[in-house]
Amino acid sequence: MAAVDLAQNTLDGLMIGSSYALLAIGFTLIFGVMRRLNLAYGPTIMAGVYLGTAAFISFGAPSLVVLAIVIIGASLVGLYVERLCFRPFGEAARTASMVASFALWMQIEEAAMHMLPQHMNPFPPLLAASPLEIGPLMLRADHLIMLAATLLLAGAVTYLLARTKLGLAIRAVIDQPRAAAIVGIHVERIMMLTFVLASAIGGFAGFLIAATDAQVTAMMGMWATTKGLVAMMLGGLGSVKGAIAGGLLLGVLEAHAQWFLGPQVRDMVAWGLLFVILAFWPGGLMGAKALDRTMAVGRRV
Amino acid sequence: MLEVDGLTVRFDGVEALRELSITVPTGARVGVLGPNGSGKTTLFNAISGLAGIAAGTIRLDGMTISKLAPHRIAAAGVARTFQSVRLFQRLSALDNALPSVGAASSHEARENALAALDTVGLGERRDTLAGDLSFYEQRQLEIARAIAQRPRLLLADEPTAGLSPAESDHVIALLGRAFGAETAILLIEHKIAAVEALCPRALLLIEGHVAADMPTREMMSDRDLASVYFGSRLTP
Amino acid sequence: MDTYVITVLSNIGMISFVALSAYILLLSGQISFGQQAYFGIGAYTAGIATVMWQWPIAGALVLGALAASVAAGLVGLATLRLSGIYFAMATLAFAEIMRIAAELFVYRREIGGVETGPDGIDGFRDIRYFFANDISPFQSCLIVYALLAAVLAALFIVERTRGGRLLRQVGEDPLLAEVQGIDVMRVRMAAALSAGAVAGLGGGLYAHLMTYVEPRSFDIMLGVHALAYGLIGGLGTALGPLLGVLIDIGLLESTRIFRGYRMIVFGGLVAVLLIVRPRGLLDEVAISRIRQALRRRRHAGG
Repeated sequence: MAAVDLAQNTLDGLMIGSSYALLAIGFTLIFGVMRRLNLAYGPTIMAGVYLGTAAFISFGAPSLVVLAIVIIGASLVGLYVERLCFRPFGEAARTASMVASFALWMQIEEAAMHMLPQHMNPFPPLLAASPLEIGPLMLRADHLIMLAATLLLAGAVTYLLARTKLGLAIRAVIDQPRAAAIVGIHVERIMMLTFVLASAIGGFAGFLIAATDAQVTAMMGMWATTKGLVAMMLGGLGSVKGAIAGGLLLGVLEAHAQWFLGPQVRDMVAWGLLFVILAFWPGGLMGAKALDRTMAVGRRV
Repeated sequence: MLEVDGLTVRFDGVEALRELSITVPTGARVGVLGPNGSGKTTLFNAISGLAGIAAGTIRLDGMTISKLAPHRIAAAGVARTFQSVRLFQRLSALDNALPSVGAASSHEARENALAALDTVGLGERRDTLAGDLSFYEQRQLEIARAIAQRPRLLLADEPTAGLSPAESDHVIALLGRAFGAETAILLIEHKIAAVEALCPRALLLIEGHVAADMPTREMMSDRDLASVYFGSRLTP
Repeated sequence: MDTYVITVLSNIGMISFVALSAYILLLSGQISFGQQAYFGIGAYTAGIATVMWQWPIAGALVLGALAASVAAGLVGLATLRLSGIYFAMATLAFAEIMRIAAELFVYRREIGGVETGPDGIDGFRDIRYFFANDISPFQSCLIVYALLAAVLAALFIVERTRGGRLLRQVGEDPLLAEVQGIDVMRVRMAAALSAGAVAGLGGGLYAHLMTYVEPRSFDIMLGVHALAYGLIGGLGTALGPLLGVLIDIGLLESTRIFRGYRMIVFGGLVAVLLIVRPRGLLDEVAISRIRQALRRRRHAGG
């Protein structure tokens, strides 16, 4: 019996963890090129989802149209955040960017509540199919889609970074912003494109998450920011692989904690893990290259 | 006074300093020359505790300082200036000059700082934010800060970089007169005239070790060494 | 005086403690998203002291500040080495752990025939010390401001002496501070301890003025607002964070013009202000200019 519970929890954790991984990938992209934290990332996603929900409620828009609206909406809001919180500041003003992005978080959240005043809003579900049974284990089909989509998207992002011209430019900006500018890469444009790309990925993740829940509240913004951040930090900042590992680990851990210790302890475990990793193991789970580089720059005399 | 023995520093597997040994007596003025990347600034960083030391020891007045935290090394009597001016831009000139070491009381610290500002000619500017000072004044303020610390050893990393020839001469003359016989000075410089004016003795660093250690005038007249330092573009 | 005005004034006063707490850390160069934790620790500790142990209010407030300070010291041991977003995230993680711990914290006892004490997610109600001792809202408001004035006076003294300079030096360039002989870790620890105490004192007052405290009273919103206040008001003087509180609570929340749009206005204001003045309205440059102007006037006046 206990073994089945463990297996089921792990399975559930991987499914929910795949959504954390998607969020962490978006965070990682932004952190990679900007070296700064976008706290408004979750609210950006929530705003996109809210726009999609509004279309669903008002016109009964079909899922695919809702998906398009969510992605475009999140990208536009992301652009707004980039314009106001990141572009005006140099890399040195990290605090300013972080606090400004928090300020916009407040703004976006209140605007969303004006758009849909209800606390809870319906969202078109992905699949109404009954759960699959694999022996004693249960598996929701929409969760499976989410996991598959995560892996697919992670593959696509990895391909984009490794094989395309845009990806090369992004990696150049991540590694050596100044050198990238010298060889003729328009750093500001790459930053903006990465930002929009990350917001679009976030929108996609937000659509999947809202669709599996079949509902959405404005709390989704805070939820997405905290989960994505913790997953990214667990993964060690700055690699797509680390983001996926961090997301899945967080999901599995939470699932077990919830089952054995209850929902409050579940959240405490995630924060506790983050605290311990930061305090005693600041490189995260996967390599700490990004961290080392940041520290080296700080130390240079 | 300063004894560096077998000092090795590695970055990412590359040896920036290789078993470097030097001795600097009390009050000596020693120029540190060498092409870019030869390890001059790394040597300064290692002495002031900012570079991880792989092997070797550094002693100041007989005390081993190579394992100490940077602030303890400063307290032991090491002061430094930076190649690109490094000041607390948002603090006044006086606050920048106020030493955290080398004074028995905060009253004495203040006296030392005010005297140091007067010495470099910034007495009138003491309440101005460092960020509002001209570049030349900022260079002077860095030196005032070092003076107020009453160091045993000053590490001056290109204190004339970015200055006009006349300003450079002033700064070098200032270094010569502001520090007494109790303070040794290691001076990194690219301007040969500056080294010749201040330092009777010079070290030539090449690829992280001491290639030559001799009177400055001899080094300048040695064609081979000069060509190493100047490269093939110039001849003395 | 109008009860509403008194309530608003009390609120401004109490939030100012958290804002000053975040400000102290900002001066030392650390961005904390977690000062609300010490506010919560102070609130629960002081409340327990007066309600469960029947301590007098002064002792309870001191105990709350002390408990918060000790907690800040312990967290500091683990986190003060970290910089930038690592420190910010670690402090946020700690604050969230404390908030959830408060949701799980039950400590009930019968006092005077009534069961009372912290009750998990429902919080800690009936902290009635002020009511039981006939202290009016106006008087309690005065207490808040007297203590706030004391904290401000202490901060001003520190700013004028060696401590303030060390704090700002470490905050602006820790490496430079270190090579000049400053023990950066010790300065940061001192900042963390005093910031914890200031937040804890505010929390103790809050618990007694509101007569209750619940886990939600110190969630991340409080922490990030506290941080924003210093950055809006300015980091040049301890009056900066107070100006920030005044703008937000005094102007936006309490006047009803922006009802329902407060966050849209406040959020936009903060974002734009950060572009124009990254270190707030009363930043170091502004303060230096004001000081020099005052000095000149004094000289001119004889």
